[in-house]
Amino acid sequence: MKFRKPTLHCALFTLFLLASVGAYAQVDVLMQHNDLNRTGANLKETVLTPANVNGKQFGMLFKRVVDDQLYTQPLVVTDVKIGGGWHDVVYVTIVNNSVYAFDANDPLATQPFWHVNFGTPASLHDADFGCLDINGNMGIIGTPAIDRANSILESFGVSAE
Amino acid sequence: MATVYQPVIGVPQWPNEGSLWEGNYYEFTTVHHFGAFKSSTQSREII
Repeated sequence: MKFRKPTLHCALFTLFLLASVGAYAQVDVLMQHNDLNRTGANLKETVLTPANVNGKQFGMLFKRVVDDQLYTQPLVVTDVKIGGGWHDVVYVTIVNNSVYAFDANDPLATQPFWHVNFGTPASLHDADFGCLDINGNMGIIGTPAIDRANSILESFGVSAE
Repeated sequence: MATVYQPVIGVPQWPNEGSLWEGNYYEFTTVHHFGAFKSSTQSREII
C-alpha cells in the first residue's frame, strides 16, 4: 500500500467549476457520490457538456485554506440562510476533525461562515489501527451526510479520548 | 454567527447511546470507545 504523504500542514481545498458561468446552476450534493446508490451522477446538470468541459472554459475557480488533509467529498447545499443572507454553501470535513462551511460562489469570501472542530483526532502513529492508507491524522476520513430537511450535517470520526 | 457548544460525551454504549443534544448545534450520537480512542458520530447544524 502507498502512503499519501502530506506536503503542507495546511491543505488547500479547491473548487472546480465552469469558469465562464456567472450564476452557477448548482444542485444539492448531500452525500458521498450524490445518492444512495453512490452513482456520482448529477441528473439535473444543465450547464456542463462534453463540449464545454475543456481547458479554456472549465477549471479551478478558487482555493480555500483548511487545517489538514481531506479525504472526503465536499458537499453542497443551495439556498442556505447563513451569515445574514442566502447562500450556496460547500461543507468540507478534514482529517483533523474539522468541519468548514464556505461560500460556494464568492471567490472573495476566503473566510468560512463557520468552522468547528470535534476534538483531537486519532493519528495513524498513535496505535496499530491496521490502516496504511492514511498518513497522519485520521479523524474524519469518510464523507459526511446532510439531512436537508432538518438542516443537520452528520459526520463520523475517530478521536483521542 | 451561531454559538458553538462543546460536545458532551455520554455513558459509552454501542451501537447507539441516544442523542445528547447540547444547545442546537452538535451532539455525539454514538460513541465506541477502544483503548485511548473513540469513534463517534457528530452532528452540526448547517447554518
